[in-house]
Amino acid sequence: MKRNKVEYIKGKYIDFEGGNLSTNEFFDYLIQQSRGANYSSKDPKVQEESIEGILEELRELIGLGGIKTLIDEILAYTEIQNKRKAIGLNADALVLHMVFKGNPGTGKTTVARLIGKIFKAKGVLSSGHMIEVERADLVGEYIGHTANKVRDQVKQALGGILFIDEAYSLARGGEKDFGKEAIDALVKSMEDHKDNLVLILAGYKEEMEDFLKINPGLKSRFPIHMDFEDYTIEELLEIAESMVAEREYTLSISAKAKLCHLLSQKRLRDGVHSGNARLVRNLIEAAIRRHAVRLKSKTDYTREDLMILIRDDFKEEDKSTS
Amino acid sequence: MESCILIGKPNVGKTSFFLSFASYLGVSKYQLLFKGLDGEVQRQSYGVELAKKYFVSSSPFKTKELCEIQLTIPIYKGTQQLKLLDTGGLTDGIHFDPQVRKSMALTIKSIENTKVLLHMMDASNVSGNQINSVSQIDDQINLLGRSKGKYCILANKMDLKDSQEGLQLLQKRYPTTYIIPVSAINRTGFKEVKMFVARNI
Repeated sequence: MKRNKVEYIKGKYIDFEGGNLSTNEFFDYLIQQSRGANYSSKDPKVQEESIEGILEELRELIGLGGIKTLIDEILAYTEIQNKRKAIGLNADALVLHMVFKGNPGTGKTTVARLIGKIFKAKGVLSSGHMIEVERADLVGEYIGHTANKVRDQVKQALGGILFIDEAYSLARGGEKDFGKEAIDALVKSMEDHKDNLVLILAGYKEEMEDFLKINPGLKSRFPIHMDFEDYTIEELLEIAESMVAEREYTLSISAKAKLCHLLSQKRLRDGVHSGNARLVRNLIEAAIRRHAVRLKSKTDYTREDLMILIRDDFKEEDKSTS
Repeated sequence: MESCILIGKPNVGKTSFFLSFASYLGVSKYQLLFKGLDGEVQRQSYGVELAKKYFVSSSPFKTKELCEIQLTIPIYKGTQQLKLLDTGGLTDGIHFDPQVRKSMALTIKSIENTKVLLHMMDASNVSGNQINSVSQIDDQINLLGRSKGKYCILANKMDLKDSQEGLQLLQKRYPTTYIIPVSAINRTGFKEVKMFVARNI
């Protein structure tokens, strides 16, 4: 096929040079070719579908209202900047480094992963994968070690997202610590690769704010800040239901009440910070195990028995597994 | 290396812009690479004045070969190498001279291989009926350029008195295209051209 096309164009050139084809006819042909090529190479339909799927996934996440609108804003912004660029207007360079603030189990990693996929589909990032690192992956043990470690991680993350969990721990460790060096190396590489790398710093709200206060240069380099609020008990129950449904189980009404009770008790005892989506997942996974043990001793069971989680399956977690 | 091509009708000032823009970007001696009609390649260097005398003329189809120069363009904090191509002019219909037809074929071939198109028009002569006034071929280059993406119009000869009017006519005729008014003689609008090229390579 391709070969034929090349031959065909060659023929056109010969016609043209021989005076059998006018410039205008030649251009008509080229325009048609160029439009055709653009349609097939981009395949906008496939791209649109996949981005719809990912955005749907984002919308289905429970709670996170503020975050969803913020992501919509970022997407609109990138789209308009690209359009402005296309027609030759001044466009800001897209800097999309972010800070995620919130307690454990409030969806930071999940959202970061989705953002990677969305940016890939929108063409902001080339591959959209996510590399998750923590202090130990970045900070070296001897002089000169740190910069290399950081560079390696950045290299892996190029075209995607570098997600640094508990980023404030980089600034801990006193004066002789190499954490500072890691921060400097990160700042340098995020400037170097700003068009093909998104850096996300994540951690507890208070600690992250202190961390950014101590490093004022950092704050200005992260234009996007997202606050992940703690889930309310109702939202947690909704999350539980969707998790259970995903695994093709159901909750009995009394089981739901028990779950609610367990969650609020945990909150009462340990404060609002504890007991988020991760706790819910652990509770459900433990319940599914107990459900299996309970059914194993029975000889006959219905389809319903295999699906339903009852009150007794939910128990307070052991201290050791929290 | 990214390349960037100057196209348009004959006698709109492609070559004088080409030379002028190169010296605006700090070239003091032109190292030119010619690709002739029969595929031969020549490398030659010229001084600024000499090049103008040799290559620029008021008669159409002065340039027949492709002429290429390497430029360094500042981008953000660094610089980027860039090839700028000067081409022979394109006209409507079938031209009677086989040499000119060959030259046009060469131009079209290089349009296909280039990402950034700078389409030059003569703003002082938009609605006329001369060889360098705007016509069907310009509309077609515009369509082709827009479907390729990295494309803008340079409205040249803004130093002449009819050009303001001509610019407005061009803006009306190509409302969705970015049009930069330039003057190859007075070097106006070069900054905008530089920015446009820098954004697109």
